[in-house]
Amino acid sequence: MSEILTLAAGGDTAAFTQLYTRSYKKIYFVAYYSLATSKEAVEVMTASLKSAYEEIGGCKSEEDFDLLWLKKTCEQIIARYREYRKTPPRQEPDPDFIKASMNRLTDAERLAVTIWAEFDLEPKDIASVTGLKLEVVSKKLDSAREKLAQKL
Amino acid sequence: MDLKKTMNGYFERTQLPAEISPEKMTPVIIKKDVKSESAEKQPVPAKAEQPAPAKAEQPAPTKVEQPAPAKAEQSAPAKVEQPAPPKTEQPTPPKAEQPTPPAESKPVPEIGASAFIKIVRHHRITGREFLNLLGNSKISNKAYQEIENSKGLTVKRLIEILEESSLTREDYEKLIIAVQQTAAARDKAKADQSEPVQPQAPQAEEKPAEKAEPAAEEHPAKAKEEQTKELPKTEKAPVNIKPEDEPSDEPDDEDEEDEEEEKKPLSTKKLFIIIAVAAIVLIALSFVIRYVATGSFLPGENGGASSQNLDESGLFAAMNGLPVSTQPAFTRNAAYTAGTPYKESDVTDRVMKGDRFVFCDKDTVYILRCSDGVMQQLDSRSYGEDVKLLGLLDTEKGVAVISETLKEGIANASEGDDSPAAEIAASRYETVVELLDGELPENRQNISLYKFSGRCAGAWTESGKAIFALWEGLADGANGSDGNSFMPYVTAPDNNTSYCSAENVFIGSTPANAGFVTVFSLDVQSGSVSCATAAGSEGQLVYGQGTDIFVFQGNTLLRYDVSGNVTLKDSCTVTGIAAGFSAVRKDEDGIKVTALDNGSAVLNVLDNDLNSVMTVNGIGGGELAATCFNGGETYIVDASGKAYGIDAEGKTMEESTVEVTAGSTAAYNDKMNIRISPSGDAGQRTGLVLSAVSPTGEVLSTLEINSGTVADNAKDEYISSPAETDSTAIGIDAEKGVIAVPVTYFDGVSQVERFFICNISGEGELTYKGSIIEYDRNSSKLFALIQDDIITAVMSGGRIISADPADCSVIAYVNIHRSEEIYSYQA
Repeated sequence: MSEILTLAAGGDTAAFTQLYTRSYKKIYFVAYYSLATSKEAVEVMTASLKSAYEEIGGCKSEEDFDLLWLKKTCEQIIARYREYRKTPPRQEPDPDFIKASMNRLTDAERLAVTIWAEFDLEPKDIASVTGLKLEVVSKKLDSAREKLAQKL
Repeated sequence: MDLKKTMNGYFERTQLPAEISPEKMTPVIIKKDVKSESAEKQPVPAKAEQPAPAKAEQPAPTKVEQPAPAKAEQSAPAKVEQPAPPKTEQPTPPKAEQPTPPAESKPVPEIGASAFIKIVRHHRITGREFLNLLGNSKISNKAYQEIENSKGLTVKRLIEILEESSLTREDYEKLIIAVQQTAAARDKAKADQSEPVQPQAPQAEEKPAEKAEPAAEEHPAKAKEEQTKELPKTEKAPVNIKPEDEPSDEPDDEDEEDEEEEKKPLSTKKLFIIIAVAAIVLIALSFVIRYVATGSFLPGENGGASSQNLDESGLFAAMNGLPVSTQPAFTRNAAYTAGTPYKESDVTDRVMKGDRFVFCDKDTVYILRCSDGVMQQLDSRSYGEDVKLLGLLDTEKGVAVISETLKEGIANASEGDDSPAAEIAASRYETVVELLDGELPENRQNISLYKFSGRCAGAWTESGKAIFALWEGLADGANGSDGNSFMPYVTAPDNNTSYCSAENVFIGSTPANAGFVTVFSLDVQSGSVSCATAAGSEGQLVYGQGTDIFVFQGNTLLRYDVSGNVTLKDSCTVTGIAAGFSAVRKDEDGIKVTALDNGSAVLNVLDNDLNSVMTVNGIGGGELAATCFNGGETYIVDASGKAYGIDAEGKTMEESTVEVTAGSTAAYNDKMNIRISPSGDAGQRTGLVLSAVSPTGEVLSTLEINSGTVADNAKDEYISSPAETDSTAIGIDAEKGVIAVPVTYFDGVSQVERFFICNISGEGELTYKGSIIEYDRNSSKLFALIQDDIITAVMSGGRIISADPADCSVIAYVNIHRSEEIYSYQA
C-alpha cells in the first residue's frame, strides 16, 4: 500500500485530499454526463466515495483507488438507471450543448462513452468497472461515438 | 476528428459544483470514517487513532450533498422530459411541460413552445381556436402567417416556428390560460347540451359523453378521470392544430367565452344560452366542414382517421408517460358460436405436412413421421421455462413454430454479492418464429429464426406469407432518443435487426395508451419482412381476412394490405369504441364492426371502401361478452348468454335463425355441425351427449356417452371430453362420414382415455362404431385426426394410435416421449 493510501486510510485529510484530487473531476464528469442532473451526480459521487473509502484497505496504489471509486460510481449510476425505468428523470433546464448531446444517448451509451473519454479505458476494462457485458459495452460505445461524432 | 479530445474539451468547461471541491468533500468523508468505522477496517497505523479534526465543523452530510439547483427539481413532478435538444433537432416535448390539469390555471415552470403545444393538444383546441389565440398574442405577423398558410404543418415545424417567434415565457403563460379557459367554456357548453341536432344516421360527435371511451388522453390518472367527464367523442373533432382543419368563418366564440369566464357577473341563464348557441353553431359547422372535406355528413365516409406524422422521438414523446394498456391486442371472443363456427387466427396446435406430423403440447413440440398410418417420433423439443410455446402455423414453406419469450435488457450488470443484476436497456417481449425445414422439420440445422418484437395476438397465412399481428407496450426503460429501444422490430435469421419505420406508424392525434400493434408480413420463401404499426390506443382488436388485416383501436378501424409490403390501405372512424366483445368481419356483403357506445353495442356496417352503410345503435346492454356473425346476421351475446340478433337489413330479430351457443361446436359440413356437451340435470354431470346439429340449432341426432351406453364401467360424473372446449379435438372425415371423439373418464380402477368412433349419415344420423381405448394415461392433450382413411388418436401422455375407421382395428401405435433436454433456439 502506498504511503498516501495508508495515510488517507488513517484519516489524514491532506493525504485524502491528494487522493481525491487525482480523479474527482473525472468521476464527476462520468456521473454528471451519465445522469440527469448535477445534484444526482454529486449524490452519486459522494456515496460512491464513501463506499470506496470503506474499502481503501484493499487498494495497493492510487490507481487502484481511482478504479475502485469509479466502479462504485458505476454501481450507483446503474442503480439510478433502474430508478429511471420507474420514474423518468427530470433533466436540468437549459443544458449546454455537450450535456444536451449526451442526453440524446441511451443510458448505457452515456455511461460507456464518458468512462471511455475520461478514463481512457479499453472496452474490456469498462466492462469490468461497469459490470456490463463486453459485447454490450462495445456495441454501446460504438453507437455512442457514432451519434456524438455527428453532433460534436 | 479526435472525439475523445473534443469531449474532454467540452467536459473541462463544465462548471463544477462547489460541494465537490476537495476542501468541502474531504471533511465529509474523513470525519465520518474516523468517527465510526475506519479503525477496525483499515489496517492503518497510529494515524487511525488520531482524533478527528474539527468534528464540530462537520456539516450534516445530507445537507451538504444538496446542491442548490436540486431544490427546484425536488418539487417537480415525477415524470420529466428529456432536455430540450439543440434547436435543429426534433423537439421532445418536455414532461415537465405536460399539460397540467385544467383546474389549475398556473403555468408550469419552463414554459415554452413545446409545452404550449402540448397543452393545446391536451385540450383539443381546434385549428380555428388556435389561430384565434395566436392572433391575440404578441406573435409576429410573419410567424402567424406561416402557421396560418401552411398546409400539412407538422407539430415539429409548428414548434420550431413558435420558438423562432418573438413570444416570451409570459406570452406563453397568457396563451395557456386562454387555452384552458377556451377548453373549459367549450366543455361546459357541450356538457350542458343534452340532445344536439342530429341527422338520421348516428353521429358520434353529437352524442353526449359516454363513460367507456378509452381514447384520447395524453396523460394518465387525472386525465383519464377527466375524460369520463369530458367529451370522449370530441376526439372525432379535429384535434390537430393544423390551421386548415377548420377553414370556415366560424365566429370567435372563444373570445366571448373567455370574457364570460372572466366576468362572472353575467347571468347563468344568459351564459348558458350563449354557450348552447355557440355549441350548436360549432356542431353545424363541423358537419359543413366534413361535407366540404369528404363529400359526406357521415363519419368515416371517404375520410380516413386522422394520424399524427411523427418521427421516432415524436412517437416516444406522444406516448411516454401514458399508461400501457392492460388489455393486449386480441381477436374476437370465439367462445360463442352462431351457426357455423369459424376461426379467428390460423395458429393451431397440429399440422400434418406431407408425411410429417408436428404437434405441440404445453412446452413441447413433437415431430413425427407418418407412413401408412404408422407414426414414428423423430424429435421432441422441450422449451424452457422462459419460453412460452404459442402454437404452429402451416405456411407454404414449412411449419412455423411460434413461441414467446421475454428479451431481457441487453445491458445487464454482472451480479454482485449484494447487488442484483441491473437491467439498463429495455426488456421486451419477443415472438419467436422458427420456420422449420419444409420437408424435414426434424432437421435442426435448417431452421429460419425470426424474432418479432411484441406478443402474438393473431397470425394468418396468405399467399405465401405468414402474417403476424403483435402487441407490445412501450418498452419499460425505453429511451426517447433511441428509437431502437422502443420501435417494433424484427431480427432476421442472419441476426440483422430491422425496425419499423416511424413513417409506417399510425398514431391518433390523442393517444391514450403507450403501445403498438404491429402487423408483420413474412414472405416465407424469400425471407423478406415488412411491417406497419398502429400505436397509442387501448383495446385493439385484430382480424385477418385474405390480404386485409384489420386493427380496430378506439373508434378507428385501420385496414392494412398485406398483398405486398404491409401498408395502411385505409382507415375510418366508426361509432363506438373497440371493446372486449367487439368483432370485425369482412365478407362479400362488406365489413361489419361491433363496438361499445353508450353502454350498449353498436353495429357499424361499412362497404368495402370503408364508407358507412348503416349503423345500428343500442343493441343489448350490461356486460357484453361476444359478437358472432352468421352470414348477414350479427349476434351480440351478453354475459348471461342472451343473444341479440340484427338481420342483414339492420333490424332487430325477434328470433334467431341460427343457434347461438357457448362452448365448442365443430364444423362438419355446410349442413351440420358436431357438438359435444355434458348431460345431466341440476349441475350433476351424468355423461356426455354427442349431437349432430343443423346450423339453425336443430338437433338431428344424438348419441349418449355414459356407463349405460358406450362407456363401460364409467363413473358418469367423471366423463368429459376436451372437445367440450376445443372442437378441434374431434377428428372429422365428412367425406367418409366418420368422426372420432376423445373422451376421458374414471372407471373405478383406471383413468381411461378413449376415442369413440361414429359414422354419420347425410341426414345427420349418428351411429356408434367402436373405440380406441387406453388405460392409465394422463394426457394433457387428446385429439383425433382422420386422414387418408386412417384415424390417428393422439394422447400426448405417451402414445399415438392409428386405427382403421372401417372396423376400428388398431393398425399401429407408437409411444412418444418428451425430451428432458431443454431445447434452445437454433441460431
